[in-house]
Amino acid sequence: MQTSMHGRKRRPAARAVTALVGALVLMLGIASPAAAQADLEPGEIASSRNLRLVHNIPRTGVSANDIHSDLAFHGDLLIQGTYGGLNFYDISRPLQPKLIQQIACPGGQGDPTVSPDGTLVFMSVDAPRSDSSCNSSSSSAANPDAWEGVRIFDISDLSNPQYVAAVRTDCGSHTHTLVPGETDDVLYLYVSSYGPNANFPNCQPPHDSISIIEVPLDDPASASVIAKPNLFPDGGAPGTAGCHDITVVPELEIAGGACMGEGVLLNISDPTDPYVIERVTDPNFAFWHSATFSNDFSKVIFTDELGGGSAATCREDLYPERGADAIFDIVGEGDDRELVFRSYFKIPRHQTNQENCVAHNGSIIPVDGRDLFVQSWYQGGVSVIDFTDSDNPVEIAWFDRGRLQPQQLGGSWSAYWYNGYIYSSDITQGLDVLRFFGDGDVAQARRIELDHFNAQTQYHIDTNTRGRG
Amino acid sequence: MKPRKSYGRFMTVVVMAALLLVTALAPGALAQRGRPTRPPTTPPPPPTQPPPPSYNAADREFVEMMIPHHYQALLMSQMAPARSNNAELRALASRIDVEQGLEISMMQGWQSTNGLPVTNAQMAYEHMLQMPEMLEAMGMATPAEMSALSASSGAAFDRLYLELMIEHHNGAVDMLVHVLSHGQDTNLQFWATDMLTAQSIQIWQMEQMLAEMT
Repeated sequence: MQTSMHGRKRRPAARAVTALVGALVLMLGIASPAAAQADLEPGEIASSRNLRLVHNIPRTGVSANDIHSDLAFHGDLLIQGTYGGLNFYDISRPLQPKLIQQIACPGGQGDPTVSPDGTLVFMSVDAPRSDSSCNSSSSSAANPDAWEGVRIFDISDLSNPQYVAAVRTDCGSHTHTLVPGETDDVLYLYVSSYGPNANFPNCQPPHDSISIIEVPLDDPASASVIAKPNLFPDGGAPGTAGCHDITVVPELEIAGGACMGEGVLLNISDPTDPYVIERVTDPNFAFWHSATFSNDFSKVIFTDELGGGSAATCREDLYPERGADAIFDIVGEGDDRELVFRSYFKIPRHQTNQENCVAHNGSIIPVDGRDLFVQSWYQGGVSVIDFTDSDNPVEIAWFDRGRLQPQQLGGSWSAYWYNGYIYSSDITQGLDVLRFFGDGDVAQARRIELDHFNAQTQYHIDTNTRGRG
Repeated sequence: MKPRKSYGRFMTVVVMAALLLVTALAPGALAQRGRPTRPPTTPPPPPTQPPPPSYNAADREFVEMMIPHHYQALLMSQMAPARSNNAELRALASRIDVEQGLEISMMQGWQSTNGLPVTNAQMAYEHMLQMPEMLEAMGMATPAEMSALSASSGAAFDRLYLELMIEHHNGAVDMLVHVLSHGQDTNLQFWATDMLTAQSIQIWQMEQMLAEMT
């Protein structure tokens, strides 16, 4: 099957777009791009031949107007977070997924995880609310009584989900990471949040910490914050105040942390007492956003979310090393592990100035002998890269839509591989199901099945599919 | 401190009723049964609707003020390549140039998405330069200070740039805290938190650099 690395189906004249660009990019003292390249018209869809959209479910129901955010999976259940609650889909037939349940419970960003036994869903809330209920209204960080943190739902009976606990955390929960406990009856959530200020009673500086929630699985209602380890006792890199997102590797008892001003490795051998073992900074990084390890954990990809996800950073002649991925090799062992920078990657397809675009969430595609990563780039679409050679990452597949009209924030928030398909949660388009084609080992990958998946809790995926049906 | 609004050149803003972007729907209802969707065989491009207006006056004024505020940061930072010999300072200035340039576009996009008149950064900035109390309230450099910065070079430029930009960032932090405390637009709330983080980082960096120079 032919793979094309980067291609455009058409290159229409940039007439109307140039006019729009002229109106919007106003006299900044920086030369505007001479001609904003519009690779796709609004409403158009294009992709490389080896990545195809096979299904889309538009936003609907209680979250029809909400930003759709991150994803988690358990068996044939896909859980999608939104700024207004949670969506649940039956993906037993990935070509025809079905929305089977929704929970209306507003409070962005809705980052979800699911417990390994599938009974509990955790949802991050990073917007101060009047209270923890699903009837709350928006409040402010200056309000000492405002609530933000993690919501816990029991979905053992998905026809009747129960809101069992609301755990307040300092500065709320921008993201969280599920960490298995040392025994099966408990798990932990690492809560990442930031933005401290003296004016915010529940988000006081320095906040160089994460909050750790302990969840007793036989009594999730009693979940509570048991620790707030200060990860950066010396203050961290300039302005590092907590972390943005942490990815744990339980098998190795380490974690990668993207902590705004720096990237770190953590020792999590005691999950209740993580500590930093390695730190890196990068002059091109504006905002260390997330970390994903290669399948054998010899590498980590950090992402730079320049512009916070709302800026058009995928412009033609600008910033190829900003708003990008940075690939690091991990060398050494134990607490002496070091991160060695190898290369940057940014999608080669340039987007219009009206399209927010920057590196965002992704996951490993388990292919024997290769390091493949599928990733969302907001309105830059979905991209698959091969980073087997850490020094030379190469895009091998892509999917993109034309810019949204009227102009608004949108695009793919998260794109993850799960059980033979790529699922992309799109801010305004709902849910996309994509099929990634290839021969040989890529084809084998389609037969690999996980029983559940949280993107920030990484396990080695066995790519040996011989003998499986 | 409430900045005076005197942008006569802008059209009367049609202030739409400020609605919360997301509100709880049925009171007391936690879960609703999802309706099965009819799967399209080929996904047609779905019509995109902008979310209902969600901003209040604090949001709107924040954006109107922050665009020209950022614009000055760009002008100051763009002076650095020709005047500074300090690699660290030039890298910082480049970072500020990149980020705040993007943020101006983001904020103008926000105005456009929300049906508000788009603030012309340069025009708003030049207008603001004639209002000394507003400049002071927002930590911005005066025309005289901008001229002095432009006329300086080497270590003198470095020092003056840092002093002016620290003041500038502190003004931004005040504005960010204000919109985080009084605004309600979901997107702005998240952006403001990110900007607060980035600018606090840079204030710290600049204070370090300045301390090393004296």
